[in-house]
Amino acid sequence: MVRNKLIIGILALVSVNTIAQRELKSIFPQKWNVKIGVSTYRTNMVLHDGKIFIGSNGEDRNFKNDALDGVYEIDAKTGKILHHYEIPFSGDNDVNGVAIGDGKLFFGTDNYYFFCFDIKSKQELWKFHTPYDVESCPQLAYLNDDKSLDVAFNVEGNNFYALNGVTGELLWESKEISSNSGNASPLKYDINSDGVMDFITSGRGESMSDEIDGYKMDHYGDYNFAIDGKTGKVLWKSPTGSGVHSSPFLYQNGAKTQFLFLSSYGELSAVDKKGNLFCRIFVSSDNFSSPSVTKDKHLVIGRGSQEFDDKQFYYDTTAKYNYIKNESKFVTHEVGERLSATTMIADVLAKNSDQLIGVTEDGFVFISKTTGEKIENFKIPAGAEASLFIEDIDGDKFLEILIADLAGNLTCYKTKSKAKATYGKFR
Amino acid sequence: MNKKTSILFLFLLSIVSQKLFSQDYITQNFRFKTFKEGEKWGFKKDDKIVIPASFDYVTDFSENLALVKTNGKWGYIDTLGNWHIQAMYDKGQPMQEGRAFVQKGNLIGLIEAQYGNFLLEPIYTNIKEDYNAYYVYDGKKMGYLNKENLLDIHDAVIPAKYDSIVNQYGLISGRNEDKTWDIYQNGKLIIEKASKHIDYNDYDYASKLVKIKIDDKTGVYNLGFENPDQAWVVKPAYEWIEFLAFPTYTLKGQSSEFNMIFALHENDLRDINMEVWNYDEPLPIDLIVLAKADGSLISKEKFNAVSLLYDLYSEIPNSFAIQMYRDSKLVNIYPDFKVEKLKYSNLISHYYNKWFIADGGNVKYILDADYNVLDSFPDVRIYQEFSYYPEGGYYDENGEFYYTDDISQTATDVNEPFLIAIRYGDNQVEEKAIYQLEERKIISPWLADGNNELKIERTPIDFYSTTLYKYSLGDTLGYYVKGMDKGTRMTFFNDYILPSMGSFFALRTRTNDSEFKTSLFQYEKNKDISLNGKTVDLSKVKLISDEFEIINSSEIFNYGLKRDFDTHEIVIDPETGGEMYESIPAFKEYFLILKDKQNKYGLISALNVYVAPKYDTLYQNSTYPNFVSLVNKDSSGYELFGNVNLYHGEIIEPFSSQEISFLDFTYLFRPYYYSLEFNENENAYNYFNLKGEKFYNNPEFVFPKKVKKKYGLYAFPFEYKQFNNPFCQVEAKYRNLEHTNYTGIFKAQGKNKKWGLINFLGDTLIPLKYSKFEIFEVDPENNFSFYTFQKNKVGVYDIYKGEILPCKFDNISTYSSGDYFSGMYLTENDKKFGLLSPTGIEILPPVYDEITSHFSFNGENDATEEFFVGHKGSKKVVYYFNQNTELISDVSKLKEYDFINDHFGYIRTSSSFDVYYLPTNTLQETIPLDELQLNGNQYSIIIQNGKFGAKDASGNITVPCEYDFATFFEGRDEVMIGYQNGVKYYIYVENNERFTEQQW
Repeated sequence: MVRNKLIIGILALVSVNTIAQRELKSIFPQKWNVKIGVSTYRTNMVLHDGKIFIGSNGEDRNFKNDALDGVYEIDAKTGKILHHYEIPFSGDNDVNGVAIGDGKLFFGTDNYYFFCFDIKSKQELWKFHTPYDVESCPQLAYLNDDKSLDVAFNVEGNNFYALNGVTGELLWESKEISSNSGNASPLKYDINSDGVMDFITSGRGESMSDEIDGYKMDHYGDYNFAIDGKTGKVLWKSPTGSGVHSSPFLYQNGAKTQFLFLSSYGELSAVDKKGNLFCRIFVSSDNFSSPSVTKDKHLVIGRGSQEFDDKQFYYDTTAKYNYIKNESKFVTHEVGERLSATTMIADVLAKNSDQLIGVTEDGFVFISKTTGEKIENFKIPAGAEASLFIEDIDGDKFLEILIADLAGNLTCYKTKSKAKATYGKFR
Repeated sequence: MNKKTSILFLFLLSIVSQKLFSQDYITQNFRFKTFKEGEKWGFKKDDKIVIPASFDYVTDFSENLALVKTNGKWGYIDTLGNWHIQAMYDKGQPMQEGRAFVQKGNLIGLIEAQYGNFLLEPIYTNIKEDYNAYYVYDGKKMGYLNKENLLDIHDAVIPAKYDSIVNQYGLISGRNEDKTWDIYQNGKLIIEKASKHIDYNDYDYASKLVKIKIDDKTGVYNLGFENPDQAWVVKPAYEWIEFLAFPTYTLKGQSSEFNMIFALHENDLRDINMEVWNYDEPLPIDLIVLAKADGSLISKEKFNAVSLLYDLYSEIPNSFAIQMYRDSKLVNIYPDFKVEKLKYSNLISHYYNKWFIADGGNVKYILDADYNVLDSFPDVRIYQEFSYYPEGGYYDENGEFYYTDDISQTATDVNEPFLIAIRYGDNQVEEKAIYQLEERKIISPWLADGNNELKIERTPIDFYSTTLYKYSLGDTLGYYVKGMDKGTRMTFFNDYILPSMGSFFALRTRTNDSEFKTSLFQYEKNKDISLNGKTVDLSKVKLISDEFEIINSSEIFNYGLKRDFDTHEIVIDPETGGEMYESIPAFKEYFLILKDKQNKYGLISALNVYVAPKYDTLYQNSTYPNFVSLVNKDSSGYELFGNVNLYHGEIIEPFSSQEISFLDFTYLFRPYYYSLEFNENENAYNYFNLKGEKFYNNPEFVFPKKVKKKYGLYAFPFEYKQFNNPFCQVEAKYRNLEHTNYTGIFKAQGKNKKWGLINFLGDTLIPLKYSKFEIFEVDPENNFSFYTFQKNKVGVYDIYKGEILPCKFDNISTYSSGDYFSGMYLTENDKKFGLLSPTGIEILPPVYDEITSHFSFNGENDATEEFFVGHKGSKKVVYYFNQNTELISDVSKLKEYDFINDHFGYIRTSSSFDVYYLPTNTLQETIPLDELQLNGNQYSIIIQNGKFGAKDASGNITVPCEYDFATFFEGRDEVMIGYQNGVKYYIYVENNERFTEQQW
């Protein structure tokens, strides 16, 4: 029997010598660049009909009169802004995640509203008033019998919503689990095999728990959980050690379906479809990026900061579960000062095998082997929180890399790779 | 409603809206639905049109108002469709928490929902919001509005003219273009062009005193004064100023005068870098004057340094005197401002002022805490290396105490450093001896120093709980044991004494001129080793091992004991400790590694665990630090692994070809802890219990299965396909079985429909007699407890201890606050509350309206104290818990106090108050009725004609004396709790504004 072996790659963060860095465009020529405003680690990008859709937090995440807020529809070939979806009323109209389906654009704002726009007419179809900010990426699925896509999403506070995609009316809401930070973007998967997608996500603090301004230092009702897509009932919940900023990762390990969660304080949990926890290790705190797993079974975790000593990784070669064994090893690749973006997996270097590629907040794109060994760190004009988007976006058969940076730019780089990205986009 | 109250309402609404909003909004949201007719929008309620479609754009109702757009302008309508705020804005925001941003042109402002009044005029290019404030922008220039200050709408806005804004405790500093700072309080400019902004150490929130620097000179400003002329307590004339803030207290009716003292420095020596100081120039001397809180000088004399004398009065944990240095003389200033000039200089103080070294010119004195001379020598120095203090720290050569985490001692019998006494013998040759402060005497012979070093090899701390001492004098060895007159040369044990570990200790003896033998002994615990003259009486101890070698001794810092896999050497590296997996308890204990003549290793740990030296190597488990792997080679040369549990001493002799490891949580269940081995031949894992018995089923993959309507446990076939006969460990006899969160542990329901707990082998951990139970607390060393329920009453059952509390309460919870957990249970019956000890002893019966608690730290006995207060009406019963004292005192003697304050409980009689000291439950004093005064920082509670009220620092009565009882609210002297005719009021002492419990 071949034992399941998972190698853990840690993207450790230390200061990188900036003098010897090559610029990213020296290897991947810049194709286009466009100003759209600031993005966050919750930001995703969607390629639809030759256009890139991306939400923006505007010129400043806290401005209440921010002309750059909203969603941008951009020509994938030229980078030209084709349309700017703007909220007609004042306030903090920052947008993080977007979803597209049935010819409609779905997104929530920090102004307590969730919107649906018609992509063709650019008209607002409906909007839904939420009790708190919507910070996560929405998920689309067929949740009722009308054969149209519906939408489900996390909201700051203690709510998870499913709305009728056509009317915007409430299908169900789940308040049982809190997601006080509301940052996790849900995953969809038909857990109970009833033909309707269910949602797997994470929360922070139990509903109405005795929290102080949302801050907790220890387990206080933080859960990873699954919600029945049909009814909104909690199918299972699995305790985790602290608030969760990252989003769950679906790991199909042979016949077994597993979900990986990473809490902000570094508890990596793996649960099965029934919510049974079968692996839990501690990796390091300050995690904003989501975990991912390569085809050759390397678990990739990006660390948020360098406050902790690397030595602590080594004792986690635990045999508590038959999932991560003593022969598992940690490989660290030093990438920069701070990492919030989720690491992508794609053969961007056209080597006929995948590489890990990600972006740091201090302005580096790092590329390493899936085994964790560093290939090179490249300088980019500004750092980024948002995960890279890697796909052939212009139909030329070659992969492009999109970077939405903290200076408010969206930049497209060309590669010479014709491979299909293994994990090329966040949600 | 007048305007002031309406805005107050808004303010209160904003405080509570976080909770209310999420509940209310859904109702509001779904009662009204927007609909579109043609190009216009309106609202329906229950599918009936209630507001016709007449708007160009609408949002949902939030807080009973909907933002709507008509004719290009935005306004707000109510649920009847009436204009609440006319459509006059170019943009607006749906109401959120009683406010909304609105725009005129591209300029933005903020309105409130009640009247639509501006909280911020729409004159700003942008506005940022955080939890406490709005930052307003005019281009790149910033202004500020504290959210709390919205009551004072217009005056509170700090204009958008600053390059940056710093907010420190609500004091706002705005940076001007010339880099000076304007300082605002409550939106009002109080200081212009200060040299620096207010930072965290400039402001004493309690006293409202703030250090402000103008033209590079610092003064003290009292924010409590409206008039700036009065507000400067100390004019800005000093280089820098220290605040010395003292807690106030009353001792035998006498109040301490110390509250806030200013140390006014005429020069600022903080930034002098001594490494680059030009020694040709005179070093500036710090010149300090001391001032009281009102700015008046305590003394006109200038001092060179200031320090504190701690624990001046043993009864008052935080009582201080100030010690000033001036021209090498010392001046003590006591809390009544009495000045005492001492005849000594250069007093080097021990942490608790138990002793001093004083400079008397040609002689050095060793003084006790009262400055009595204990001894005197031509010179006295502090012995540096072993001057450890049990709290964790050391003294440097100047006697300064430094805390460090590296030393974690549990010894309490030695807490004072050694001194080296110096005298001058013939020909003025310097002679040294060890002076042991604990016993206040010389313990070594005088030694003419020459080239020999006087060195203390082992201290009582090293020796853990024993009292063996040793020092070396060059190559001459001696030892001292507490109780001896003086130390002596070692004769019988002519070389080495090693630290004791629990009941073990080792002695190294010389067998001939060049060879030594080390023997290991064990003595009866808690019994002193008897001393017979100069040597240990070996008849009282048991020889454990006659000959072995001590490799090293150390403290295990999590993962300190390692194995070098290349050299197979044991490595002790306490520096590599890492952060623990959060549910695994840390393990920090002394240990000693032994090696016998055959190069076999063993160990002794301070918890009395002895592993005989018979293993090839040993090393600490990398996940569970209290386990040490024991490794031996089998006949073929392959390594076999075993284990020892350093908590309990359980040893699994080496049997496993793989390193023993642990299934999650099994370490919690000692009888059921497992090791696992990967068996290549059988292509599966093998699991072993403590006795080495083999199991094929991984308790993690044992699941409940229904067989003929009954549940049993069976092994998940995941790894056992090759076994024809899936292993069914537990017979299907249960009505129901459910997983718990803990490996191998299941909730079981019996025939009687009652629930209990079994492990995966079918052993009953909790009898099946409860209607349900819930996990309650996991503390692997002490508790593994469940809430148990019978007939809707709840109790607690602990797997290790059995039934702790019977099911007789409506509710039980642990009583804990913050990090500290006393282990108490809070019980509830019929909405009354009681208190139970961790072992189920009833401390307070469930008859109290509420139980509150507060903590304090008692420096005297180095313990955290917790006061549990049972409230019955206005009466209070206090149970005092001190972690260092016996847990349960005689609860039948607890008294009902009328009120409590700090460590004291007060019982009112017809003419006086009997004041009890809560920790000892003893009468401290009796105070005549009208003489009682409880002092806070600014205000005092007073009594006149038997009624309670409050006064300010100037003696003005701010709360008239009309309450039956009163006390400060949670130690905050700005709020008083007063009882009047049985009604409890919360009263702001400053303005006598009062609230009932419900209003509060």
